[in-house]
Amino acid sequence: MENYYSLIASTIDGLSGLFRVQLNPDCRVYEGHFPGSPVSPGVCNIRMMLECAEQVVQHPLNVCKINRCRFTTLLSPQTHPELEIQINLQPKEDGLFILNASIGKGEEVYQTLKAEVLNTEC
Amino acid sequence: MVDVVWSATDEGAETGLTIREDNIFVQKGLFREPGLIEHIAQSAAAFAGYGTFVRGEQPKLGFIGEIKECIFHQLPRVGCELHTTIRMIAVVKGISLISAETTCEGQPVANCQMKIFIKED
Repeated sequence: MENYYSLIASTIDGLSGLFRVQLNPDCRVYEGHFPGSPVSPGVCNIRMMLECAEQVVQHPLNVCKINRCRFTTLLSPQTHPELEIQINLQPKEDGLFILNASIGKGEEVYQTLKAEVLNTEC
Repeated sequence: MVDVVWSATDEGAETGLTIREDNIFVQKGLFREPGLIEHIAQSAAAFAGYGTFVRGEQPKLGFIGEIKECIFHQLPRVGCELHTTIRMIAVVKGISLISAETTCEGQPVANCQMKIFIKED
């Protein structure tokens, strides 16, 4: 997942954040996913949302549960070079957070994630 | 990210993956959550590929459409041999709904439900 994206700008307000990122067409995931027709792997986009959430809480996070994650649009660095990631975390007990995250651009939403994340081991 | 398909039928498949140090989802010796999801998705793809192979068709591209009720029990270490059981729940209009259970040395690693879209040519 090295060089999958680069961060252009971020705004963090408490437990919410908005991140602008640029997908890197030269990342080696596209060698296999898929040869000649690059599609940004959904799981790499999940990792990208988690890394943004880690910036909001300024702590590594483990995923205990993905309640629901929906992919409504196929993304690639060619069709969607720039993306916006929205992060919202609600604190629960003992370092547990409910994470609501989305990837989109302007009014459009391409992927959504609701998960339970923990700042220690699950 | 599937090393081996142990079995495949119309109802499901059993697959395996040995976690290697150079896997892009390994961090600090642990196979992270997105890697587990990708392994499950590719196990489902291997299961779908078996179906197209049996029917004499060309394999098609598949994409994750939705992940639901996915629980991570532990993050497996490098060297661990994952064993994944895929069960087909339903197929509706080119969307496969599957359930998956991944274990390592008999211990639960992840449980998951997934919708996979198959791209028709």
